[in-house]
Amino acid sequence: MHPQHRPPAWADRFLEWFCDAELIDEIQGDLHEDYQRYATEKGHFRADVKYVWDVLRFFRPSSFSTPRIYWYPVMLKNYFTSAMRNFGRQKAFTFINMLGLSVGLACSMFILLWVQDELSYNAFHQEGDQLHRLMRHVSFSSGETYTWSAVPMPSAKLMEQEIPEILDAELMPWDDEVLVSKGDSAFRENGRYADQAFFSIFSFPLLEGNAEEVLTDPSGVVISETVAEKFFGSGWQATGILGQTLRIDQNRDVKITGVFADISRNSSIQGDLVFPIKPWLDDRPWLEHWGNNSLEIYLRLTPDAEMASVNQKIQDLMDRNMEGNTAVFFAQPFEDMYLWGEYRDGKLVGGRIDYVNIFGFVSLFLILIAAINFMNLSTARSGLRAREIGIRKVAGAQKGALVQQFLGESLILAMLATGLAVLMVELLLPSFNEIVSKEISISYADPRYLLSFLGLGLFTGILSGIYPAFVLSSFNIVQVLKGNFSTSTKGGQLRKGLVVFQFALSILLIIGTLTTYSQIQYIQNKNLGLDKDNLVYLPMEGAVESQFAAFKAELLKQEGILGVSAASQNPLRVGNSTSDPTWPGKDPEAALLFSIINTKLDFVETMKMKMKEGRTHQASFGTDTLNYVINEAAAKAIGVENPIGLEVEFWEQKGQVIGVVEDFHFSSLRSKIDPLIMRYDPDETWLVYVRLEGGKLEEGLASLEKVYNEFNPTYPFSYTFLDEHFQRTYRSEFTIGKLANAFATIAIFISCLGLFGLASFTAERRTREIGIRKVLGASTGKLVLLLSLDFTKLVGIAFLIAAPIAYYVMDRWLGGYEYHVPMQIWVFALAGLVSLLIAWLTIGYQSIRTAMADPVKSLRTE
Amino acid sequence: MNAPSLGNLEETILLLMLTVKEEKYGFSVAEAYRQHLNKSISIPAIHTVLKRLEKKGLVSSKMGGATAARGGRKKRLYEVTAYGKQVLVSLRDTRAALWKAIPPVQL
Repeated sequence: MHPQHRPPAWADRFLEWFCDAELIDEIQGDLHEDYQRYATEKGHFRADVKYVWDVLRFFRPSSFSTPRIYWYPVMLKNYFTSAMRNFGRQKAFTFINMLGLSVGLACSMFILLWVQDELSYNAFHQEGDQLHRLMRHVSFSSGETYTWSAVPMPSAKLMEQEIPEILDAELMPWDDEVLVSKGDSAFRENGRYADQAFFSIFSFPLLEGNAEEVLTDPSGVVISETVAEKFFGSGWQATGILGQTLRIDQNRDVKITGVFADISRNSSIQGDLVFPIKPWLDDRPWLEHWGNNSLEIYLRLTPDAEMASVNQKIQDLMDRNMEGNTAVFFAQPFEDMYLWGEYRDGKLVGGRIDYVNIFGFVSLFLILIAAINFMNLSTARSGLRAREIGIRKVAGAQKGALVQQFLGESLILAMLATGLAVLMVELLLPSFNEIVSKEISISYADPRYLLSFLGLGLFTGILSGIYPAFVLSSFNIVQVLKGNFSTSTKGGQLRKGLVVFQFALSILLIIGTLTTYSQIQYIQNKNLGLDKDNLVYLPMEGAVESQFAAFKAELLKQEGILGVSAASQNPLRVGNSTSDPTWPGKDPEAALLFSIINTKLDFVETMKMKMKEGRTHQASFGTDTLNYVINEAAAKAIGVENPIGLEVEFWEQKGQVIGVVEDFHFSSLRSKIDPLIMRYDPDETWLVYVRLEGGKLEEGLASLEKVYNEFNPTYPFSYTFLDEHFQRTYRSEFTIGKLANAFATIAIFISCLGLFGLASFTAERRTREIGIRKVLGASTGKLVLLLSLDFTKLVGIAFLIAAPIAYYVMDRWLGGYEYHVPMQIWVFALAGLVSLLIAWLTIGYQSIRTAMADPVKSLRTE
Repeated sequence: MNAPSLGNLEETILLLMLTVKEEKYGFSVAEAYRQHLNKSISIPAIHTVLKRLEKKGLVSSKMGGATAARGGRKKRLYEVTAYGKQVLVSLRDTRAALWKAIPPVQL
């Protein structure tokens, strides 16, 4: 019987797709026979429906094809031999593949190490999951919500007492530089004050002393291993260090009660010396006020504490104790605070985790680009192995066995590349550490490193080998052995698609790099509203503090020194703020936040800030300590037409606005310039600022040192350039810029390797065509053009795909800065041009060589 | 003997296979089922039963020829094994013994 109708072809295709090759005969055969019978009885439509239904019923595990492992130990040696022969025969291609894969792998390993290091922050505390930091969101009339970790001190004790889930509430002021001396040696170290429970809550191991007791003595101090070594030599452990005294800030003696192991770099809490907090608190009675927020509080919760209910209880407690409290309090998980630290408008928006994610993607991209090279080159050159495959098939090799063989080959190559990559990582790790300012090291004793590298290599091998393995193993035997097998069209479209994909990724990275760079340039050259160059600052202490006027007068007499002043804060990073100020006509409901900086005389002049209106603080006006200089943003926020002479009252002081200074950037360029008030408060300044003369830096510094040592002979002389500080503030931007640059270069390098291989293959394949064209009169130039045009088109398409994506991504990144460069056309144009040029250079050599070849040679072989 | 547990459908199909004289494969057994029992059975169901019988050793199979009606696909031909026949006989004997044990009044 000849069937007139056939069951739906798509259902058959589906069946053939999922069904095991050994079962397809009986299943499909029986179904077809049944279909014919049913169709003659009930008509084609119902037969079709039944057929589809039956196919679906066969869609069950028992009919699925199972991957088979072909394990013929005899063949393994043969596979290995033929792999090696192939590598040997195609040296150039093997080299390109290896190089691409190992460079890609090395980059991914670097990124992996970096990510691993980032993730390890704060992760070493035994009770880490129970630790939290108390935070608060505060909203202002301007509509902005700020999130701060500074909280009122008295809440700690109450929380511990009243909220059963809170086991400890640890007071933690910010760390501070202290001068530590013993005899003749003096060092500036990072000191911090802490509650008694500090060493039991946080897992900072003690080498000497008992965790519960080291901080009980108010005149004690716990020092780090490094500090112990500095003062007592590397044999400090033998000297009986406990009970020894150190002098702090030249004004008090403390007794060493313990020594802790140096705190790991991967800790948000740092410190070289830990002092008991009690004396610090006694010196600062104002901290007892609920309105004062000048320290952090860390909480240790019970293991099963319910966060929502704890937050609610904290909020209730705060509302009870602070009349009219509008701040929203919450506990931030301690282990998240490094990576998830950025809040905007009261919501968590990420933080460093963004960079972790971005670089994670980049590493995937790089592997992908390298894997694509492998796929392209292996499929393009598959014709060379067609006969081998044919013979193997004739001799009885099954498809699955061939897939395994080729996958095995790519795995061998990937493993060799992994070895090479590990070598590269090992060699370049110091430079990498310098770029990212980390101290990453690989400990080969820890199996996790090697295992993850091995895993990465395995993943890459499979990723790049799986497609060629299936293509190669599915060649038709008869065609292959007859010799009329052509590889030219097979997979050509896909290969082109892969090249486009590679170049799109590279262009994306180039645009990213260029944008990052122009933003960095912008940051560097941005007029900050003050002159940050040739300006140094040093701590205000000793006789410099008590005899400041004399110190200043002496300095100004010296060569190379243009100005001297002092302030409570770094003018590029003013951290103090208050919403206290009121003035006549102020909306009583409005909450406006003003940043505050206390200065000595001549501050505006020393900083080379510009006055917009009015005057600066002057000694001749006896009452200038009550008067304020405000910035333009503050004048705008106050909203009075002529702010000069306006009476402003805050911190229980009434004074007048005497001047308006032009806006300067006193915080990061990420945020906009907020209202600022400059007070003249000579007793509350902690940093001395000295303006040096541009061309005479060395002289200026020498005279500064001389004068300083006259006043403070027992203090070590140290200073910081303001622009260095500025650079440090944007360190993560610079790091990101450098990394993006490196990765973009590498991405384009790997892509070009692939392009080079592909181009030389195409050129080889078209030798005869070119010969004939030449014989018929084509000029060399035209031929080069012909050969380059194909790839030019691909790069063009890649650009069209990458540009909008890059625009979207970079626009978002720049959006994180209140002050940023616009998205510029030249960035895109340059990226396109660069990738095109590089592509041309890559294929140019091959194209020219082919085009210049003697046609007699290429045609004679026919 | 230890008879393997045999479902009702499995027993029917096994018995049915002895009635088919021509090639015994999925479709032909389904056809026989339709003729003898007057109800239809789907190919997926028949395949499941046959695989189960084969696993229990009651039938054996080998690949056979292809026909145009099958779209050029080969058949898997089944044969009841000696063990299969033994099981059927012992099932029949057990039942017969049970029938004999029924006192006449019960019917």
